[in-house]
Amino acid sequence: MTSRAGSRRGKGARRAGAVTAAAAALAAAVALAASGCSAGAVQVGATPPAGPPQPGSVQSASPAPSQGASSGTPACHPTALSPRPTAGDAAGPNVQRIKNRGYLIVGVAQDGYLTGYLDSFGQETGFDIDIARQVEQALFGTQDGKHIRYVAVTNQQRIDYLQGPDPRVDIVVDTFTITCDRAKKVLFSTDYYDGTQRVLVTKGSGYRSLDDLGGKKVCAQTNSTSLQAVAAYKSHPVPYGVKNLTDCLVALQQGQVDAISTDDTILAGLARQDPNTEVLPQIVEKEPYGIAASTNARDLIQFVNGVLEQIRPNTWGTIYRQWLEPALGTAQPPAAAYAG
Amino acid sequence: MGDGLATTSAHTTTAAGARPDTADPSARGQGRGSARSTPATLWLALAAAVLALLGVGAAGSATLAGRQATEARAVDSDEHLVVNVDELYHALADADATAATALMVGAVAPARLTAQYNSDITQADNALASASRDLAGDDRASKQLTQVASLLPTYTALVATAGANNRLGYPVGAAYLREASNLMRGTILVGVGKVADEERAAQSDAQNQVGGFPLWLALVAVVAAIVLIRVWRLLSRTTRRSVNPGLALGALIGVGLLVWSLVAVFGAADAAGQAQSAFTSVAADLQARDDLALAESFQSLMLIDRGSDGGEDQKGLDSHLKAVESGGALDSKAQTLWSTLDKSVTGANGVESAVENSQFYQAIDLVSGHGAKAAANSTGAQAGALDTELVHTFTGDQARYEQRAGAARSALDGGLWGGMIGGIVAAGAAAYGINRRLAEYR
Repeated sequence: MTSRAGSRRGKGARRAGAVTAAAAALAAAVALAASGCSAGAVQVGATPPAGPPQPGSVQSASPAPSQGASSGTPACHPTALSPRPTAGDAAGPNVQRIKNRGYLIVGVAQDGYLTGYLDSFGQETGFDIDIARQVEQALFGTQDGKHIRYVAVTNQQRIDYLQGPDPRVDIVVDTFTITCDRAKKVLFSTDYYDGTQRVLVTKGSGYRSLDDLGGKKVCAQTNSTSLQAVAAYKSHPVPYGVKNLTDCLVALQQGQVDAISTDDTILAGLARQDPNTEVLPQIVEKEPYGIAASTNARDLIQFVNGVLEQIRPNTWGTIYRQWLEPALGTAQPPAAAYAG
Repeated sequence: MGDGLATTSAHTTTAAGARPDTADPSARGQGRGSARSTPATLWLALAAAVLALLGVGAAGSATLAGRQATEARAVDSDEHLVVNVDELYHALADADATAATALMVGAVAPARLTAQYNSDITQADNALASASRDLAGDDRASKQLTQVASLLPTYTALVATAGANNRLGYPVGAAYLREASNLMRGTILVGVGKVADEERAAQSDAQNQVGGFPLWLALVAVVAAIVLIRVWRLLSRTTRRSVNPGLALGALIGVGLLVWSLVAVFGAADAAGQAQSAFTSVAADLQARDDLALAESFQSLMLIDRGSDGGEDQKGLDSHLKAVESGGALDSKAQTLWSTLDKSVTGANGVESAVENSQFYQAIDLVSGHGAKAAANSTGAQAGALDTELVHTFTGDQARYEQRAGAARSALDGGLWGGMIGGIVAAGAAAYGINRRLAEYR
């Protein structure tokens, strides 16, 4: 419980000595009558402020200059940084450590409808989850769910949980955009989905692109490339950062922001949850997704790249059709590009 | 002789019981002016003695009656308000925990949790209405409660929205619940907590007043003693009698009144001290229940967020769970229940361990069970058993408090009329005694 120490009573009359009990009673009666006029009475026609609070994890947003997928050094190509898979990856130390442990630990979103979320049975479900299960299949020969454990991560935690000598998770599969800056902190797989940053607005709002949202609040996850892109956009929208993207939908539904801008996959999930919203066709930025691992787990990321190579021809399409095609239309898996 | 007596009467003292010589008219005429001085002095002495003894009686009466009224208010109003406001706090905290648990266990909230949530909100409504009525004259408390009243519909609306989205399987339901819970813990409960603080401080002030040293009574008694001694000495000089029976009787009654008042005051102070000690236990019981409800709330939120909150929910769970124990409210049975609960939450195979290992399905089973099924030995059931024991302890402590506060009140019984009557009788006796001397001059 919150600390309750140190408060002090304001009504001296109620605590007066009993020599003046009658006077105190009189004073209390007067105070009661007075309060009846001020605090207790309802003013006809008044409109007291009673709006909903801000979403739970709203944070002030003052993002750094844009560092999107194409903003690295001129020589950096974020989708061509990943090491090529080799025949000996399955015997690598990190892969063996996971096999010996008996389960793969994956950092995922828990509120990304269609990409990574808890279904009605409390099970992790979505496009990214099915991609992660392909890695489980390759490691353990099964997708029974007993050999994979999910850890919900926020945007900031996606990198934090992969760092240090004993990372909290083995891989992160969470609509994680590959950037050159991030690639200095984690190892990325090859691009497994070509996402695009787009904008979600309420139907009938009249907004057709970010160009119409100058001076308006546009919501995105804190520490995301999307929020940085919003802050850097030429029409100068006001970036509004939250910890969890579903908080953006709450803020939009409560009228606290005018739009949400993030990856098309996520927006498709938000639009599915609120049919009174729509995803605008404008592409703000490209967002190539990669699976991330610790910088000390080169064998693991090469193993993951091998898995992605295997699923691109068929399985990828099956997964995409199940989760994203109804909202985003047909798509093909991006071709793999490797470093060197 | 007559002249000499008259002269002596005028300037020194009259022998005790000696009537002034009035046989010689000339002497009477000479002595009249001198005799008027003595009666005037005696009248002054009479008035002073009467006022002093009436003062002792009034001070005793006011002290005893005032403290009795304060003690009565401490029990009938302040303690009632403390319990009432805390019930509001607990109902709201429990509603928040229940709403989070209902969302956590699946798409369809189990009927038992829905019923419990509705019951909590109804209980909170009743407690809020009652507290608002009782605290209508307290501007600060009224403002806090008005804010709570204005935010409660927003909270319930957010929970309802969360439930509707959760039923559809939409993750935005959890976002609405987080917002609701933040509103509850960050604003509503803080406001109620401030009111509870005020009421606890008021209750403590009242007990301190009852147990405090009777300064005014002591001051009046000292002044009265000085006055009576001077009157006695004056009478001794004036009447040449060492003792005026009436004044002596009045003084004795005054002393008796003072002793009776002090015995009553210190007896009440002792009982009030015991009552305050019992009230400390009552407050600890209430606090433990609140902490337990908040711990449950954080536990469910931890499972809803699944660690994406950076461990804040777990910190909240741990701190409130520890506070349940450290508050000093647990008897041996409650301590055993708490240890069982603590082990189930923080132990090797407990809820937190399951969360650490990302075994959320198992963690939910440990907390509540899935869907409509309520796990028999879940942490929710264990917390329920502990809460029941805390309510039992609270009931006992509250009865102990009321019994001791009642003893404090009883010790002061009859103070109002006893003091007044005693003072009047004492003053009457003194007046009668001095008047006897005055009659000698009529």
